Amino acid sequence: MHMENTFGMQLKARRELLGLSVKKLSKFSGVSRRWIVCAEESRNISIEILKKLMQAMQMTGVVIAPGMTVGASPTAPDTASLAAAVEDIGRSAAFAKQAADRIRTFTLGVGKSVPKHTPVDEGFNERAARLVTHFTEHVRSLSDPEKLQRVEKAVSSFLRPEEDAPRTAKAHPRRRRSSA
Amino acid sequence: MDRPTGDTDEVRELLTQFRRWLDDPESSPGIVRELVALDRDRLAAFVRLHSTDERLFAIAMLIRRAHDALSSAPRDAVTMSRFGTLLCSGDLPGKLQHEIALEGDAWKEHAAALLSAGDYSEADRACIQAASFYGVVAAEERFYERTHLTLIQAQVAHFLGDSERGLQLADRAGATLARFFPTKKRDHLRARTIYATILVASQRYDEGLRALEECAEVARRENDTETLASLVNNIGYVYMQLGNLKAARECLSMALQGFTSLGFKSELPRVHGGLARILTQEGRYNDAVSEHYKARAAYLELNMPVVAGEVTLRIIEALFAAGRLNDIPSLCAEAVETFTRAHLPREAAKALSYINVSARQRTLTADEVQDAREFFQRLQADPDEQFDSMKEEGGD
Repeated sequence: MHMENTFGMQLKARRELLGLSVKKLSKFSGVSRRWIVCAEESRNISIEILKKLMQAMQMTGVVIAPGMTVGASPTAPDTASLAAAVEDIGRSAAFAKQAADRIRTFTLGVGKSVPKHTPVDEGFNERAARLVTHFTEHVRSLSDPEKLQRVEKAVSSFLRPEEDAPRTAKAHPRRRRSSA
Repeated sequence: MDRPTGDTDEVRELLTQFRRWLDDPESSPGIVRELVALDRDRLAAFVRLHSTDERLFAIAMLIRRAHDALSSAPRDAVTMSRFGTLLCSGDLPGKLQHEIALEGDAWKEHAAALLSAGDYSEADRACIQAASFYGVVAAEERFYERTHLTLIQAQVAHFLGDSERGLQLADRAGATLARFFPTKKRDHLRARTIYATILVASQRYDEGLRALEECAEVARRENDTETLASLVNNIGYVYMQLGNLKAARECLSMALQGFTSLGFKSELPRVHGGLARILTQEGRYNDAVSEHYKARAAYLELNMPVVAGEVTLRIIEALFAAGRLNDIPSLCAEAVETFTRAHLPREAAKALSYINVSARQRTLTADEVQDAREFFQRLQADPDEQFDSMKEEGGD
């Protein structure tokens, strides 16, 4: 399906009217940001993607060619989307607080140059160390021998820099498959 | 003038390409693999064309590039380090101490590469070779490298089933690093992490978990983000194996943040890939596709087109799972275009074209995509893998 028209402009105008970023629309619609950009450039996208975007933005119809309209029944935002929105608001507030704290630190003159290996997020090391502790506590709480066996096996990945790398060059036995 | 056996124009041409590779590895990407495959006579002729200084420089470069490729492309690291060991030919009595030490370095790097690639028996043999060369040089020479060799030996011993020896070696390496290299705190932490890991893997949970906590605490105190990011990354994979997807996602997201802030580009695609796998298991196929795309872009940026090609096939699998069948043909067409620009090896390009044609004809099956993905995995292990055989056996 090739759509040489302005449906992308309609989608973009609607998104901007709703004050949604591409990222947020992606979250609400389940369509990747890449496909949203394609859609807004009126590039070749599937009807399914178009409908998802329309539903997420509560649009009832988009003209894709003269005399041809794609309709989508608007759906009420689901609980997952609402939860995601609330989570976004919460995160934004947290970021704002973090930014304010940093500005305060800086204006009080306690700021210093950041060493090369210090991440932007200064709480990273604390949180990462806490995750390690959570993990050790989790393993200690395990009593199922099967699960413990899986831990023993999986933990060896600590010793392997490239877990995904194929282990041997031997050819695998192949299956026959039926054509579609 | 008589030429020695094997000293042909072909060998000279190989030397020209190899020199180009030393200047810029992108200029002759397959040359080291070709050189490793040389027969004895031609290899000897190739070595003779070098001055001693040039040969030692080449060995040092091979070791360095193999080391850089350890985590991102272990098979390439194996090839490069192997060639490093081959260039160290000649009789020991005529060699200077530093040449012998360099030969030890080449074997040590080869052992590390083999460990990364999972060839433990070969890694063990390479460790023995490295130790024998280090054993010839003066005791104080390469003390730091020897300690690293001990760490490699510890891991190899564990994977070969001798965890007790692995523990002893890791403990010894950790103690040596702490005593003689007090400024190398990260290395010491790495040794302790290996020690803790082997303990847990050997069912000595109490000691192992306590040691792991100590490592994390020291890393936190020392502001060692690299160690912590690696730890949470590995823990993420363990959670994934245990089916605890929420905890796995938290750890991998954390690792991603750490590696990104450190600028460790080579670590990023694997983490994106891990996140994509979690999202797939959670049934969030569209999000998984997004993560796969990030992994693919990162692999392409790292100039690893074969792995990026494998990720493309994972994207197609995710699209199949998501029921987004209409998106597959355009993705395949785009992939062929992208990977042509990325100089995908011939057999891999053939496989991708085959998938593309099937997708265009709307006859592509999920099984075919899986087979092609497995072919890409085998191709990473063995660059001589042929796509034709797969098609014949698979039937099309």
